[in-house]
Amino acid sequence: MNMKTGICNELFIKSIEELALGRDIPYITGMLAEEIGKGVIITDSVNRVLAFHDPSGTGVAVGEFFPLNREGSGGNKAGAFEETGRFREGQWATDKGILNYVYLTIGVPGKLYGHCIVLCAGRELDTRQKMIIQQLSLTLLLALKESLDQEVIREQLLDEFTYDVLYNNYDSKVALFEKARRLKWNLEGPFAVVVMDVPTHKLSTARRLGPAVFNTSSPIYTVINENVVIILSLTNLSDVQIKTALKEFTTELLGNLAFNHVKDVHMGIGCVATNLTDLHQSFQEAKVALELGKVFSAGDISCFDEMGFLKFIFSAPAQELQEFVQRILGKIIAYDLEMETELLKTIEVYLNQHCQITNCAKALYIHENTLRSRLKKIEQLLGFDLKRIDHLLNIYIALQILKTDHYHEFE
Amino acid sequence: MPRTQKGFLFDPNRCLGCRACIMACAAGKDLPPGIYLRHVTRQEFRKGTQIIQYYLSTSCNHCVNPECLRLCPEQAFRKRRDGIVLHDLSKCNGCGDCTRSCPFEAPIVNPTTGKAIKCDFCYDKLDEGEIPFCVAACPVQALRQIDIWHLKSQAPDTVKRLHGIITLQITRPSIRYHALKSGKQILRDPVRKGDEYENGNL
Repeated sequence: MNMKTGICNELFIKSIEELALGRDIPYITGMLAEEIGKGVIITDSVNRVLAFHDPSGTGVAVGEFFPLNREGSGGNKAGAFEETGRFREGQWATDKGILNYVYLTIGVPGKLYGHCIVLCAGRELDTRQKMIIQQLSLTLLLALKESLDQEVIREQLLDEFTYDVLYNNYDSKVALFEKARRLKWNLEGPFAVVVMDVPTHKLSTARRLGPAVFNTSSPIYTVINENVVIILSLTNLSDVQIKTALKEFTTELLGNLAFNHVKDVHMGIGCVATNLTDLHQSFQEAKVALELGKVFSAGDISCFDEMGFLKFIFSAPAQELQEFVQRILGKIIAYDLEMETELLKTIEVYLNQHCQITNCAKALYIHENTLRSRLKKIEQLLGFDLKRIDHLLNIYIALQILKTDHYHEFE
Repeated sequence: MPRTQKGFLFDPNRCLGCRACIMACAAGKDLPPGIYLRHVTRQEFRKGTQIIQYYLSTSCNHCVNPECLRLCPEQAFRKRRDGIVLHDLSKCNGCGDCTRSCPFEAPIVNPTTGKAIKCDFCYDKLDEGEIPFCVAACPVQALRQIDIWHLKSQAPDTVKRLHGIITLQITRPSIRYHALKSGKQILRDPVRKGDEYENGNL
């Protein structure tokens, strides 16, 4: 055994001993950074910074997540399989300028636990330093695995408790508050509930990508019925501040998700719940907002209090809704079927184009006179005057119901 | 209790419209005369020149997003970890908000007590390893209980909607259907050859 390897082995054994003595990830990171004399950042599998030790004094500020760009490495699992034990290089744009870094994937084949990032260019690392990084990454692998296992158990407990709170599934409020205290929930209301729809295979990643702090307390991230549910404390925020804070939070969250290649994300936000026992209502509202937002293509984020009359549509008896649609639009639906025309589409586009003949004709790729003739036919069939707001409103509502129905038909 | 979502699986190709499910529920739950928690209706729709008719048996769908739970002013509704939506009679003030809010009109106000009642999926029987009254009573196994989250492995050929019914799915009702097969709506033979579902419990 040569001298270099001997030093490395000693450090590795010492790090394992320290881990066994209960030292945590920041301590091992410190050991590694001091030994190689360079800044070291340890992240988890979603690039959340767990530890940062900077003996070289670069003075750089590290955010909640490290912008490690692993695009093209084939996703987390495949990446771990391919890259384990290999050093890769990257560049990080900071307020101090562009910083070079070298990173090593911490994981086992098929499972990624995190990354060890060293703030220097690849050429600045000698063989001994690389060996130290690789060996201490094994210690960090054990620490990360232990931490993840504990996190999974904590998440299971949290998911069960949150389910009970959000579905009113508890026997006494006293027991509920007691358990909430044990789980270190901020019991001081009001609260907001955000329900997030992400692809099922990305659920566990998405729940870990949220900001760690909202309004000075930690948000609660949980997974219920294939949705990520986030509970936010709104203590001491005014109505205006709530809107701004929620907007900032969702923007940051969407940014984190996009950076980690989590796509097709939709969010629903319920009305403010004044206390813990009202959370179920806000949760249901958030889910309704989410569903309606998807149906009516309201963008990535839908707020229940901004849904207007649409939220009343689906709670009306289905038979009544069907009859309403038939009464309002039945004649043009039948006419379209019989004559193979597009009157229904025409009226829909006409309303979407704010009743502007020119824009509507352009959108339908027809001549304005053709559009006028179609609108006249619609008026004749329906017996409505398309200049009257009450008639237009009825048509609009009927079209929305039809949209809801078709959305679910082809879901 | 492991997290599941109990629901019903209905096969319109088998249902005879005999209403045994309704009667078994009413008798098992000791409901007053004329009050039923389950309904059987005859559905009809046109497909080309054909008129297709079938029977549909419905009750509370134990929705994933139950409107009754959201709108009840007394917080009398709860959803167990197995997805069953329960109604607490002791909290109910009989306002009827749940009846009006449910898109399927599942909860009804019992005129004798003045309080709302709804299907509870016979959770007490379920906890003892038995099956609900309605499922047990169906002579042709048209009605079964399922776990919605694991449905794909149990019955992959199911659909969320049937032709001829408008049911808004925003509340995510926990009911699935076997697709309609033309000309197979009335089956008198309770057990089909090669049937993989011998008992009512999937």
